[in-house]
Amino acid sequence: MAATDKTYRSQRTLDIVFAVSCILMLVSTVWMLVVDYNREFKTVQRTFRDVESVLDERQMVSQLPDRAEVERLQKDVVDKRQAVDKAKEGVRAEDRRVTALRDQRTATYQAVKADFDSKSSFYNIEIDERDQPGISDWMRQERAERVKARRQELDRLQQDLNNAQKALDEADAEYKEKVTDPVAKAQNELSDAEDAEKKVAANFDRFAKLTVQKKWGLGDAFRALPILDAFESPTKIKQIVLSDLPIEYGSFKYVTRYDRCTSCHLAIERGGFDRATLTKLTRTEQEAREAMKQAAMSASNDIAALAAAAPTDDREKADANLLKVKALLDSDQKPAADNEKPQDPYAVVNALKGVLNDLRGGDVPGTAYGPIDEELARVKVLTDQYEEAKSLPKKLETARRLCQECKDKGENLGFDPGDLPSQARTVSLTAGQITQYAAHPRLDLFVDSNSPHPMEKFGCTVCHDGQGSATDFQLSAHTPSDARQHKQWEDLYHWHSSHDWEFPMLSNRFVESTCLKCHYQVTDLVRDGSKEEAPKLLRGFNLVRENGCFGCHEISSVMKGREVGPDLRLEPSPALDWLSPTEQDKAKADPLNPPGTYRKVGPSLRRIAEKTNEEWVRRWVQSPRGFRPDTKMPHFYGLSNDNPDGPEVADLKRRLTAAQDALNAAKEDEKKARQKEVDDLRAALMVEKDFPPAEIHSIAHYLLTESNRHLEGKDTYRVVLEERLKELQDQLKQGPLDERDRKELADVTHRLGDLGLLSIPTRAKEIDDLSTRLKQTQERILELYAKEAQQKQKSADDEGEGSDAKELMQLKKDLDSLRQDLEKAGLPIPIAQQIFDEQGEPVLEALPEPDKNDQAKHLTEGHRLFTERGCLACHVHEGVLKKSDDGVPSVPAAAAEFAPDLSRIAAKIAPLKAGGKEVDPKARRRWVVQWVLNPNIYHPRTRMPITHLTVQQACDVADWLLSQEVKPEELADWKDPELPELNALVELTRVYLAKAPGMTSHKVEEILKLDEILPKEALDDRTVTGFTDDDLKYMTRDADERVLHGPIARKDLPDKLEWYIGRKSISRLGCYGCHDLPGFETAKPIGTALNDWGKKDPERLAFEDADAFVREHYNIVEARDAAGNRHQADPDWHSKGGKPPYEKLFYDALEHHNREGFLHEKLEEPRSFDYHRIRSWDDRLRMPQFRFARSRPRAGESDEAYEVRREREEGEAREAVMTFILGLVAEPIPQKFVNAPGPERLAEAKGRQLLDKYNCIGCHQVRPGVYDFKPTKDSLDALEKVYQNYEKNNAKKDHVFPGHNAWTGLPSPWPDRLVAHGTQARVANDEEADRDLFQLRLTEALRFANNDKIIRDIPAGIQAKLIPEDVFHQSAPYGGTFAELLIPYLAQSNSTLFAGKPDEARSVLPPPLIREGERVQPKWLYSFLLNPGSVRPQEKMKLRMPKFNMSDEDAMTLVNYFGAADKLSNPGAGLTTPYLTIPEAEPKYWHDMTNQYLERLKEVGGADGKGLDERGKALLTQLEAGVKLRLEAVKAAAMTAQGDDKARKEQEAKELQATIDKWDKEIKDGSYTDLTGQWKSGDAYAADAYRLIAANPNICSKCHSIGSLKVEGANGPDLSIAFERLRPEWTLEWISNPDRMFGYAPTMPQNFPKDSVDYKEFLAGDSRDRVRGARDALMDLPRLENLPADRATRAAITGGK
Amino acid sequence: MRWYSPAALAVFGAAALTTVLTGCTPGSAAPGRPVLDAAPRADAATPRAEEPWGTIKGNAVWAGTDDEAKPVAANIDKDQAVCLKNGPIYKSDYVVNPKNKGVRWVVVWLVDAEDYKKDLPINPDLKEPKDKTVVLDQPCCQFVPHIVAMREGQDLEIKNSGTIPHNTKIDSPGANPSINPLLPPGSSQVVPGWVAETNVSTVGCSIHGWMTAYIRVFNNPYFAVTDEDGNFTIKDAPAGKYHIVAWQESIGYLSKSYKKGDPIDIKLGKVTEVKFEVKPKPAS
Repeated sequence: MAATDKTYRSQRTLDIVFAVSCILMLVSTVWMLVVDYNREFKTVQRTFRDVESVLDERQMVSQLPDRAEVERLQKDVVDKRQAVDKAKEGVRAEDRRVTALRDQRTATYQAVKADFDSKSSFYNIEIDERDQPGISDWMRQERAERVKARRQELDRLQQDLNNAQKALDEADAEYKEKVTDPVAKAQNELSDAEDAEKKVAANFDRFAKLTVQKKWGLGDAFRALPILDAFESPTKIKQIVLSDLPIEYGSFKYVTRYDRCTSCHLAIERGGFDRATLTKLTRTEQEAREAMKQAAMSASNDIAALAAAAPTDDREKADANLLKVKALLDSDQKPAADNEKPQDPYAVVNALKGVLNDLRGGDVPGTAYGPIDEELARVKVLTDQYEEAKSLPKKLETARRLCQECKDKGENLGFDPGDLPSQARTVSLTAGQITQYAAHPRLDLFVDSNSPHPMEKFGCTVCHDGQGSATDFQLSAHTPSDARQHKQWEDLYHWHSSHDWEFPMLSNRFVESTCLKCHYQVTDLVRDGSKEEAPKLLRGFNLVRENGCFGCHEISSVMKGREVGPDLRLEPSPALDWLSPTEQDKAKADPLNPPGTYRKVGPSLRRIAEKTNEEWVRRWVQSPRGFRPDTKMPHFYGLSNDNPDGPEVADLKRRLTAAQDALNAAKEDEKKARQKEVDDLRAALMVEKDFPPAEIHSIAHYLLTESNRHLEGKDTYRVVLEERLKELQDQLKQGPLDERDRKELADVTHRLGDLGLLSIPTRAKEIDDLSTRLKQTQERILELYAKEAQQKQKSADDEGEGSDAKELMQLKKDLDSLRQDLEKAGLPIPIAQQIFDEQGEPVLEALPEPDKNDQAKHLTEGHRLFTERGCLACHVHEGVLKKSDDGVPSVPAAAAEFAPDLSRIAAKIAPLKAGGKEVDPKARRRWVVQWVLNPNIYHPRTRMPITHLTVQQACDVADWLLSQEVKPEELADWKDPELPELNALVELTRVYLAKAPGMTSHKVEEILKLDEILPKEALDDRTVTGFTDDDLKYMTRDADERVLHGPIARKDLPDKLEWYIGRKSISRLGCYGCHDLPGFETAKPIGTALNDWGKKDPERLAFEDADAFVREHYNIVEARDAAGNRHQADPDWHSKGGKPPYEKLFYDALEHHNREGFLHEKLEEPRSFDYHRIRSWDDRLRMPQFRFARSRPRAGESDEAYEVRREREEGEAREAVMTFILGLVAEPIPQKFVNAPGPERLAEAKGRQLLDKYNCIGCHQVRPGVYDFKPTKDSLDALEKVYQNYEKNNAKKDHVFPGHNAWTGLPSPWPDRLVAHGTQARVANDEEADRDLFQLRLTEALRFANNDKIIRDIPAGIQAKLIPEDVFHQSAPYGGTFAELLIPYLAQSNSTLFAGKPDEARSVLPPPLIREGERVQPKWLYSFLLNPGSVRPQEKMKLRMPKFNMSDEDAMTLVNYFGAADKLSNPGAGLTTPYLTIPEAEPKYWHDMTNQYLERLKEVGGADGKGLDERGKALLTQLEAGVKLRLEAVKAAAMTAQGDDKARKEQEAKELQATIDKWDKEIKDGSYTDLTGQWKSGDAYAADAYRLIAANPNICSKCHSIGSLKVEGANGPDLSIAFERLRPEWTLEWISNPDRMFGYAPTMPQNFPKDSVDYKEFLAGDSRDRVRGARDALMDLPRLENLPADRATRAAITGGK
Repeated sequence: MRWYSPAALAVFGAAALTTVLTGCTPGSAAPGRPVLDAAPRADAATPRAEEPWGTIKGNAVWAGTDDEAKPVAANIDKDQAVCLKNGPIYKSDYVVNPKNKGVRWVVVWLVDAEDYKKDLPINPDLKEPKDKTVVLDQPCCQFVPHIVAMREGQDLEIKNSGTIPHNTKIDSPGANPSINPLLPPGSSQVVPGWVAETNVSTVGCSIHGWMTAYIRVFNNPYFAVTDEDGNFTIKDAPAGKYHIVAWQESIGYLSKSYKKGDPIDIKLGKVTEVKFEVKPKPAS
């Protein structure tokens, strides 16, 4: 083709294409820029600048200095500047003079120095010349002379130099004193004044500058322009890189974590950006007023509601006053004009408070700080805000003026005052934006770099989950906390639930669950003793623990060899404590897999036949909550997949009727099909309608049958084991066993031993021994066989063979007897045969039977014992709550949840007479008596302790409990499931048989073939086939099917079938996860392990049609809590048409297949996943339905209100459980992030678990409450007043122990709060301060700096007072509810002793254990826990520490807990733990003290003013008097004594007489040698210390027995146990100041106040010496008691007896 | 409103007078004993006619059964030799005079009709308490007096004139002192710092559990404790409409509106009579 300039394509077309693409490119570029400019985080950051600026403006205003103050300070600066000038002026004359003097002296000095220097160089030269080698002697001589002369000259010059130096120094000093110092002083003052001036305005200046700077200016806008924003843009992504905490994407792919959350959450670490402050920024003055008004109206309404219940007069008055309040609120529509008199801003709050106080009757002690008080506090805060808003414009004006003035003065402000806002600005922020810009609410715990979880180290998504690398709302996978929020987000952010990110952010509700990632102990989330930092998670943990989820679901701490979570596993069965030490060691051998520690939560059912009967068990299994509404036992029946009364059954019935009608009407050829339909429906109906009751009957039958057999020692499992063991042993006798049999032999022996332990653990040692011996014997026999075989191979005739053969024979003989002994030892002893006391010893006498006359008395006694003996610490019983006419006062509403509610116990205990149908009243009583006497007999692993009742008392309690009959109508709805037709049992049996090994469907049909539907009554002797002998051959020895060994008579069929079905059902439902059951000794848990459930892929969860179930069975409500108030239910939260409420959040989660939705439904309605699914009976879901909250109706509560509350409480409890389970993610967090508590913190965390496990806290207060409050001016004033009172009233008498936390408080680690520790906290009207004050009894000293910045310590034991509004966080004391519960009861039951004296009541109740670690010796506590003796006199106490069924290890854990807890909270006490030495019991200590004491005696001239020797003599006389008394007593005793005793007495008298004679002589000749010597060498201090405590009638012996000196009616503990019980340091502090050291004001008085001279006649020295003396005497009392001097002292007190 | 005035305290630096007999007298119902009344009374200064003052007289009468009124001996399980030397010690729940059914140890006081916390006008003669100290003695295992009613500004002297030691544990729920010193025989201690409040302070001895006393503090002189006949007198009270409150230790307030009291119209220059019924509390 010829060349042409024509282009291939049309140029025009190309131009157009080019132009279009250019335009498109431009458009898309612009589009891109616009989109980029508007990226979410950029908008957020731009808005944030406004927020910052407005906030700074507010802060500037709040820092606005007081004009007068500024002026004063400015004037001060001017004055000080003048003072400097003046000072300079003043010193001028001196300056001139001294300067001249100094100059002159300097010159002199320099002249002398120059001279000296030159002369000394000459001297050096001459020395060199003298020492020059090669010169003649005379020349050397001459030069030496010259050196000498020079030397002398030099010395003189040195002297001159020194003098000149001194003169110069003097001149310098004079200059400093007269010239420099005065000026410097003035200058310092000036700079201080300048600092003060700067400081007063510094914050103001700073915020003023920030206010201007943060305004979005031109420069910012420019830098933020597209393209330009690539360089130093004001908006940019912020991120935290966490390479140590990667995200696990599954299958071990780890990706570095980038958290960009702070790109939008811009102020997350800035404390000033709290929600309240931000909210304030959004409100104009009018809005602030509206908010205040609304809060006030709501409070007013609540008070009106309260008033409605008050007596008429009060109500009318309250209503009138409330009307006034309303008028007040309405009146102030517009802000007061300038010239108007300012109104009292708090008029509304105060008026409301007045009405409330009137209603309460003023200052009722113990008034709780209730919700209305909280509301009023909120009104006050809002009032403050309104006031602030009102004053804002004026203040801004002032601020501008102030800055302008400064500028005019020429100050460089760094900004133009004209840029300051001229009028109050607000920013409009949505609630969501406030959250976005708010600081983290717990900066003390998170985010802040000084907190335990700094943001740089932990990031955000480690705790919150979500996609950290995203920078917009949707992609970062936010999760709403309820459906209401969900909706808002949909509207605002187009948010939708996303499936793209596997770990969406945790909803606020579950945010605590991630704590579990690092806090494996869970209880290590409790700080400061009682402050629960993750309350929901802790509650969840406790609920899981209490409800025994771990019985079916393993929750193990270890995965793949490393620790990944908390450890909740069942303890081994039989329990470790029962095993022999060797076996225990074996069980604990693997440190990576130690045995579990949690007991099964349900009672042992091994002996249930002694307690109740089959009918009761059936009813209970069918509906536990029907009998006891708050039981922990879950429901297995009546649920969505096994409810015979459910709609499915009704539907089936309907269909069956229709099908039958159809069949009847059908033509012949259709009949067959119709018949099949009818049969199928009939079968289906049988499954739905008859299987549940059939199973319930079978379970009850199995339990009772096996229990009865167990009591006879014939339980199936035992019989099988015994038979098999005998067989194997017989085989063994015949000859060696093969490997399999040998293993089985060992196994069977072992299992028989275990069964014995489970049956009667009180004989554990005997059983362990026998079982070991049996095992050894069997092993030995096998060994001998082996040896024999070996030898046979070697040679036929060997020497040793004879003895071996003999041994073998003997061993074979032993086999039988050992086996029989083991069998016998392992047999339970029925309660019918024998009752055991608390020691496990048989009670030999017959139980006391009450006769008609004193029955009432015994019932009263039983009632009283039940109330007082601590039962109420764990149980409730309606009988003690209601008024009774037997004189025992009622107890205020109790809420103990630890153990079952016993109100209906009388209906439960109903064992039958042997073989009969009738309840046996005697057996009933015996059972309860045995249970209260020693519950371990019936249920060996029970946590119920032994309460030390006598047999008579146990009978009284039992009789009272059984006398509290339950009205039949109460249980009218609690029905016995009807036993279905035999065919149902047969069909059900077939279901299970089909799964039996080796079964064919034909066989299943065959063995139970019945040719007709049989009514229950028509069972005769005809037989069914059953399993043949042949079949049995192929079954294992313990196969359940063996029970169906045929032929079976029809009349025996129900029993056999029920046994079989019962057993199979129990296996299916896993009852043995909670109960110890006969026949399930080796069964394995049935549930999924929960170790890592929290990160389970939702794809792997079978959601099925559960959402449809929820839709059809529940009333889906948007939210549970009312909007904006999480203490109240949403108005829609109630049942509708019989459908209970269900939170939409969880329904959505279920619908969207989220983990939370599944888990929630699994707990709420566990079987609903079977809905609309066809499943065979035994494939159906079997998870039971738990109810965690255990709500109880309150007095006067309507049914509807109770239902709403119950559903809410249940929802909260369920969420707590979910929080725990969602936290089980088994994520391998790097070790450095895992919380590794120090030994003390670990001991504390572990101990707390045990305190909960045994409910120690039911009785004892273990930790004080913790109260955080803001140190406002008012609170500091209130505290200062308390301190002044202490100074005035108590300080003079206080012995202070510096460093100990009872006297020295710790400085608060946070500047914005103070922390008080104390008990008995309440809000009470303080008339002195004329307002409500929050009062608490301090248990640790409280340190604060008062308003004058003086540091104060208010010591423990003082009532601290605070302003209630300032207390922003309270943690109640840990434990002690029972003691508090019984105080009002005791005041009624014995008004003389206890009315108005709560501390006296507390002193007869379980003591608080605050400072227990400091108080008691670890060794004592350990043995006390294991075997508690009595400490305080029992006749005064209401109860005694019960004996818990705890292991040595548990006791040690508790001992460590108390030591660790006190060591942590009181480091100044120098506690040593767990070991302790008592130096006060060492001879060296006494030796030193005696020497010191003798010195002291010399100084003070004797204890009672006499000299040292005089003192010795006085003692001798006193001693002699004592000995004489003793002599008389001995003589008198000798007169009446007989035989040997008489001789002994006479001998003693003779010796005493000899002593007296010797001493008489000493007194006569005045030598006193013998005695004084002895006294001085060792007894002086000991004798006086002992005298102080024993011979002083005014102190110790008023309340305490002192060793062998018994005091009648003692109130305090016998002091003879002090030496092994108490720690010396604590004892010293306690005797010094009892008030400081206890959880309540102790009844013990202060016997030796500081500076008191009382009792110096007993022990010389000051009062502190006497405290020490008393303590020392206690610490070595056993030795002291036997010193001769002390024996004489005692004889003098007791008159020789 | 400020009830407590340090200035007022300072004025009372005068000599302390002991108003209490310290003899070892048992029982509380035994008639014919000198009345131990810590309440500082106005002297017989009859109000001048032109001044608005009046007198209140009244009594507390038993409204329970005779059985309930019978004195019950307390269980004295310690130091019997000393404590029981003057006969048995009775429980103090109710002390009823068998002759005229008068109830002893009822505290009666006057409050404002509207606001029980409001200050009352005080007769100038009674502006200041007569005595600086009020004595609470324990001569014979019982506190004497059983009820201390005192004025703000007075100090309490706790004293043991007996022969055995006692501790004196004072518990105050409000602002008043809570202390627990040991008092050997013959000793005493002055406790200052009492302020008027409606809370009652309880006094006990932990060594002898049955010993109980109560302390009430007022900021005006218009209070009284009934004597063994159940009678009381409040003199020089402001005339007009006020409320009168009565309180008994086992029952609490006898007045219908509890601490707000029952209306009383105090007549100028005359004697106004009041009567309180003491009905024992039913067992709970």
